[in-house]
Amino acid sequence: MDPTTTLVMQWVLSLDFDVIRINKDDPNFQIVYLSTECVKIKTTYRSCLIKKGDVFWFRRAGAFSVFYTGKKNEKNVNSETFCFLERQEAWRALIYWGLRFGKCLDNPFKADVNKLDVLIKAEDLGIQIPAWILTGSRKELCSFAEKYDKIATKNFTTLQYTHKNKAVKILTGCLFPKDISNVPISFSPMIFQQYIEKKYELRCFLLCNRLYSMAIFSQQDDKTRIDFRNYNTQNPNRCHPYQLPLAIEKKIIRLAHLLGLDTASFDILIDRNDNLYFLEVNPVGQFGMVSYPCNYNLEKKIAEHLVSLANGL
Amino acid sequence: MKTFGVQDFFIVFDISLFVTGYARAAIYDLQRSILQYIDKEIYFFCKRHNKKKILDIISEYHNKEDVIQLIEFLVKNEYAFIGSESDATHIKPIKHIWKEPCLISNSVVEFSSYINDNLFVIKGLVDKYLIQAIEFVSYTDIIELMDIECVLQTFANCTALHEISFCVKYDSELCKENLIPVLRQRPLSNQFVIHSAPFTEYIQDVKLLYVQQKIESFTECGRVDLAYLYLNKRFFMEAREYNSCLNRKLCIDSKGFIKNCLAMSETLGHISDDMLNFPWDKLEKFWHIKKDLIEVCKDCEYRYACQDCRCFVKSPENVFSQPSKCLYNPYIAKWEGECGYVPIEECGIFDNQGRFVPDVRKIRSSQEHF
Repeated sequence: MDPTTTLVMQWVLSLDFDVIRINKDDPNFQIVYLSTECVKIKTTYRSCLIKKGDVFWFRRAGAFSVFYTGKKNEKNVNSETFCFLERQEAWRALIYWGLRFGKCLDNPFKADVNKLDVLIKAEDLGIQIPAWILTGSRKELCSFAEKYDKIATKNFTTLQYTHKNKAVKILTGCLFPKDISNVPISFSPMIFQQYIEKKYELRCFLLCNRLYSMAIFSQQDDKTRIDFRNYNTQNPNRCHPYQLPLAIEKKIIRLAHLLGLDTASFDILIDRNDNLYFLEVNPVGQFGMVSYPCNYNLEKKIAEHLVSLANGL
Repeated sequence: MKTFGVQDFFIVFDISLFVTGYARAAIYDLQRSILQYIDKEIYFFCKRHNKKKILDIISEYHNKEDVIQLIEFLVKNEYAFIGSESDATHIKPIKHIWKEPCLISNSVVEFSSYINDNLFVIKGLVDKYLIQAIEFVSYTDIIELMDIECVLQTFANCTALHEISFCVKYDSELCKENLIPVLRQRPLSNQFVIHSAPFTEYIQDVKLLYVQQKIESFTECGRVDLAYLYLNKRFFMEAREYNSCLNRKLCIDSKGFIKNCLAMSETLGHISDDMLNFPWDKLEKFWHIKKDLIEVCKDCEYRYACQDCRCFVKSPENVFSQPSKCLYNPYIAKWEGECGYVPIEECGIFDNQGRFVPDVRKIRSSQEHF
């Protein structure tokens, strides 16, 4: 079970509020009944009556609903998939109920952002981003690559796939102009960006209109130089609290508002000349990895926010 | 030799993770769980020159080569960073606050038939005080497999609890064939130690450990040794503000009496009592005795990594007395058994209030002799 959620729950309890956790993979989860007035649910451990005005925190609830939208249009599925999709829709009904009648932190239906949309919105707000192109053609890629020493590749989704029984994680890659001849003439369109040599990168978690930033010194390590998620567990990258300049902080928060996000994790890069480049936003923001090393106690802040929603503040 | 630019700043990542003792200092690399020993001079150098221009720093010293080497060492190990003025403004130190949602963080319970009959009362306490971790211990009594299953079942749905550990005596019924299926079913269970076993074995996936060592009472506790150091952020932050052993601990002995620590003789109440009348002030008596207040420990560079003990101390009449089972002398930076070790009594005197006063001459002569 996600330890961050456990910690947030403990904080909610310590503030004298009851809390129930619904795990989506709980085999005993059941919606006993649902009306416009209330919802009665049951989990493995307890049952609970949810009333109008209760507070919901949709932690990672959206990640799954995105996953199965493709299958929904299939006319013929086996009985297992059918049952699964039925349950899926009932689950979505509960989310819609929460959004309509409850007070919510995070809207799982807004979690599905498109990288290009985010980049353009960021640019509109005057946030600096690396030069980019979206293309599926080698010819276009070549003429873009001519302008820069190195190109960063970026895929749209953050899923992983299985190849020869091994999970393949797709991270940001680095492409040299000389390698482009190996690229097919036409391929599935993706975003390419000018590769920025970084001094360090930032992970900034947004909560209640405040940004909690962490600098990650990943440049010294060959393993993490291009993508910090290529973790070095033996010798973890040095991480430290960081205060973004206020003007940029404001713009980032505006961007989150434009995208309809209550909480999110922003990836930013600082180059050797102290220029700041926005890379992307992760709407289902993991904040444990920012909160713990920087001692931000974000789990407590989330709990306090949920309680203030419950109190109608 | 590396050359530095005029706009290069020397930025120590977090000077508050540099802790100085009497004889030497240490950098607490909490992220990597490493303690890097340094000379006290380096500690003062970093403190003094943090966020200054490197060329200005170097110009202050005659032995420039040494200064550069020192800076390179700190940068290579990522204790410091060479950056711009903008970096110096925006990289912030970690805030030193310790916050936990629970009123009680851990409980140790002496398992007995009385406890077994009153598990639901203990569960009530776990839920009420948001206890995060609970450990059941037994010294000479045999615990049946059924009882273990019963404990795991009882505590399975406590919201705050995320660790149930056991330290029980070996019995043929507690063989791995019987235990592993039980432990696999319950993701909560953390460490399962079986002492007085005829063999040593560790089964990693269920964290089941058989040891031959016999544990006959709780008085085995309180040792201070290199093996018992904790290098993590949570421990560090807590130890700066609170007692690193007793803060937010509540223990229950085999008869149901509540104590701060099982090795203490003083009982504070009973699990069957109404907790409204519980003497919290007595339970919290030692919670605020942090290492910075304790004799000798306050001069020790290990003080935010070392578990304190208020039970076995050198002079029991002094609440700030040094733990008696400590094997380290911070005035000469040596562990017992190391060449040149002398007990702290040979490095100073205790005054009439039991306070330790180090004596520079004695310390020096003990080191010269060595």
